[in-house]
Amino acid sequence: MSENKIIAVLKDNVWTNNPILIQILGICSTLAVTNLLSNTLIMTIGVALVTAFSSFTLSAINNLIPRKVRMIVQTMVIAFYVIIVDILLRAYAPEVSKNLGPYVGLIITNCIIMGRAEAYAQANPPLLSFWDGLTSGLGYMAVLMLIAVVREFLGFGTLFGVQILPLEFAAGGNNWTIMVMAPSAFFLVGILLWISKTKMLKDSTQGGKK
Amino acid sequence: MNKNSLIYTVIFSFIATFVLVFPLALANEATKPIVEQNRKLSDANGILTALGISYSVSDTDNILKLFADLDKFTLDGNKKLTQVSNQQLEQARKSGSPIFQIYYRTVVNQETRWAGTFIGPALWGNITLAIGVNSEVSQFKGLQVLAQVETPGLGARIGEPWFYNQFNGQAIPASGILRYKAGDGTGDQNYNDDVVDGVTGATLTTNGVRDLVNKSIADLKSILSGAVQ
Repeated sequence: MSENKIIAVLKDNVWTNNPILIQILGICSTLAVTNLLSNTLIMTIGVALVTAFSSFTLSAINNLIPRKVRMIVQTMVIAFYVIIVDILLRAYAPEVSKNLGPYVGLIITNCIIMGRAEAYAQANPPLLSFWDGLTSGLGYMAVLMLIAVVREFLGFGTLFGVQILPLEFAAGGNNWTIMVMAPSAFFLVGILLWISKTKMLKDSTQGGKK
Repeated sequence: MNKNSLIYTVIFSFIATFVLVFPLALANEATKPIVEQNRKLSDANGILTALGISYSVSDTDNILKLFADLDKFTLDGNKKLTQVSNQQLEQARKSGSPIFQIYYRTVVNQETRWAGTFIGPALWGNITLAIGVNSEVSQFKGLQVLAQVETPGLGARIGEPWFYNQFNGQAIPASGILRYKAGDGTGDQNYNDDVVDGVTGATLTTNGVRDLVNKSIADLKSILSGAVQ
């Protein structure tokens, strides 16, 4: 695993091939959990760890999996790690588990995990697949946290539950209720897509001129 | 062996399922006592807070002791309250038929208070509330959300202090029907009217809480007046 490859995978997953901005995967959870930073952080850490470990496992046993049951095995491995996360949260962080409600279980349905297993882990060694899964999760985390900062700030006037804007902001009804609700994430993802695409196009054009 | 043969596929699927499911079963069994203890603590916290009893959150032994000291009742065949001991409840739980509908009684500052847990539907699933009232059912002593699966950041805000603190001392109107108005996220501070703030943007969750609270008041009124339903 060369250093160049490690950096290339990191850059690819966080920026040039970001799961949300480029691959448009994991949009459901982007809409659902990004109105509070604390929930977003825990959810995205869960996704990053599950993606990393399931990619590692699937890459390690790739040569043993019969083609006919490939996707079933992938789903089972992903479900295994998600349930482990769920069990650990229920036992050691009951409050977090209570706050996230059904969302931990729904990590199984996150397209990024299956996407990386299919697109990368099948054709690459376990450690590199682990790194690919982890960095895909980081790319997902970066975008979701960015959206969550805007939504929590404008929706509640807080960041990580700490009051930033004066209490009168929410009490006076000046907060943006739309930011608390799922549709606002659509607008924010759209704006982020627009900005990142423009930047990428600009970079590639400038790179071409050189 | 041919990797795509039927026998290989069946054997692989069997082994893969066993290898993945067995550790999960082990992890579930290993953490069961901790999860059970968390649940007990959460329930005890909920009931004690609903009864308006003050305690230190960090002192778990004291919380469990305070909870154990509460008088507990269940309904007999005639829907009359019958006192049950902690041993009877534990025995029923161990025998596989736990008693779910329990009412708790305590005396705080010479005032008799009652609490119970109530389950009802909201937007995504059932919510479980611990509701505490005085013996005349004319005033709430507290409300806690014991379980819910509502949208995090929206409906799940019923579990936040600004929402449930509205019920600490809130008057219960003679009609037994509490109204909910669009709130500003800080909670209604007037405890003598018949209105509390709902969660803005989570109307269906608020409606679920409204219906459950109003039904619970009716139940408590009926049970505590000794009426046979």
